[in-house]
Amino acid sequence: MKILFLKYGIACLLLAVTFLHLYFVRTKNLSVWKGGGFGMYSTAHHNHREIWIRAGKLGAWMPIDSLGILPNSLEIHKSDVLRRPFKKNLEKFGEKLCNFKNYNSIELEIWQPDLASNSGGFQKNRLHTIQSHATKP
Amino acid sequence: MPLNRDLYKYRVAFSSVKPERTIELAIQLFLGFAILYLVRNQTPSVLFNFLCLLAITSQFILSKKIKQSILFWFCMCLFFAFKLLTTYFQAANHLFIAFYLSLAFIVFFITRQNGSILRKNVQLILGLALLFSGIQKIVSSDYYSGAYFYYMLQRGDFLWPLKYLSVSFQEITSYNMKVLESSRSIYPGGATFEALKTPFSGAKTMSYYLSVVSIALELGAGIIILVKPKSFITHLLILATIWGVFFTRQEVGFLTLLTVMGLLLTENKYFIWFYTATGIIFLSLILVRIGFL
Repeated sequence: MKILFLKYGIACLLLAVTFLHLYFVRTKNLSVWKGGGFGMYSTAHHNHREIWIRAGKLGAWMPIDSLGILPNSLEIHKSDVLRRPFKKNLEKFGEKLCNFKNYNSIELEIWQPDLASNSGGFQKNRLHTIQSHATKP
Repeated sequence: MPLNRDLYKYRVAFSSVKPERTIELAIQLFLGFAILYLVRNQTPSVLFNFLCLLAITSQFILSKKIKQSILFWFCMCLFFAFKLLTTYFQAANHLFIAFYLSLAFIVFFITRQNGSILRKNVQLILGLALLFSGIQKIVSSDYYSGAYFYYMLQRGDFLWPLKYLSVSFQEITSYNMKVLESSRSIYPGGATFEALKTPFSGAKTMSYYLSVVSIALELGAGIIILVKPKSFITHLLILATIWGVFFTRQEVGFLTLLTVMGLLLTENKYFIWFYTATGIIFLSLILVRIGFL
C-alpha cells in the first residue's frame, strides 16, 4: 500500500490539479494557460482579452485602457480579472473601479478575439457582462 | 593482445553510464533550474531569497561531496508549494512541474534512493503532462483548425525570426498589429473589424498541418512514455517534442524540466548526452534571458 502511494500519489495529485483546471476553464472561463492543466499555447493568451466599461446603463462604452494608468492594486486586479474572470472577482473589480472613478454603478464586459472569424473580417466574442455598484462609505 | 583487452575495457567503461550518475546529472540540472528560477522570480524579502539561493547553490556545488539531505528536498518542495499556493492562478505550468518533480525527489530519498520508484514517478509526470497538453489542443477548436497558429503568424509572434529575413513579412505583421491595436478602441459588440493580412502564401495551410503534427507529436510522446518509457522511439519523440517546442515557442524553463525528466527515464548513453547538452543549452539561454521562464 505504501509503495503504491509512493509510486502513484504524485500522478494522482497531478490528475486532481488538471481536472480542477478543466472544471474552472469549462464553467468559469479561466484562461487555459493557467491553473496547471497544460493548456498553454492551445488558444490566444488571456492578455488578448479586453475589458470594456460604461458608467450606469446609458453611458457610452469605453475600453478600460482609456482610463489611463490605474493605481498599482487596480492594475494587478485587472490582470487577474483577464486571467480569471470569475463572477465574484469581476464584481469586486467593478466595485473598486466605481470607488476609484466615483461612479455610482458600472457595467463591465470581457471580450476575447474570435480566432475562427479571422478570414472574412475579424470579430470578438463576449465572455461576461456584470453590473457593479460603488460601496457606500 | 593485452593492449586490445585494455582498449575493450576502456570502451565498456566509457559506453556504460551508471544509473546513479544519470540521477546525479538530472538533480544538478534541476538545481540549476531552481537557482535561475529564484534569481528571475525573487520574492520581496532579500533575506529569504539569499537563504534559498545559499541552500540550493551549496547543494548544486557540493552535490557529489555530500549526501543529499531529505530536509533540503522538503524545503525545496515547500518553496515551490508556497509559490504555487500564493500565485495559484498566476503560476506558469512549469512551476507545477517543478513542484511535482521536487515531490518525486523527496520520495526518492525517503525510499533510500530507490531509482525505480523515482523513474515511475517521472514517467507518470512527463507522460501525463504531454498527454494533457495534447488533449487540451484537441479540445481547442482554435488549435486543431490551425486558427491559433495562423493568428500568431499574422501577429508576427510565431516564426518571428522571419521579420529579420523577409521585408514583406515584417511589413504585413506590423500592419496587422496596427489593425489589432486600433480595433481595441472600437466597441466590439456587433462590430466586424478589418481582416488581418496573410503574411505569406500558404500560411493558412502550413498552420493547419503544423497544428496536426504538433498534436500528434505531443499525444504520441505522452502515450508512448506511459507505455514504454525506456524505448529508443520514446526518447526520439521526447527530444523531437522538446526541440519542436523550442523552435516554435521558446519556453526554455518548461523545456529544461522536460529535459530533466527525459534524462531520468533513459539508459542509452547517447540520449543521456543529448539530454544533458540540451539541458545545459536551455539553462544558458535562461541565463542570457532568451526565451521564457
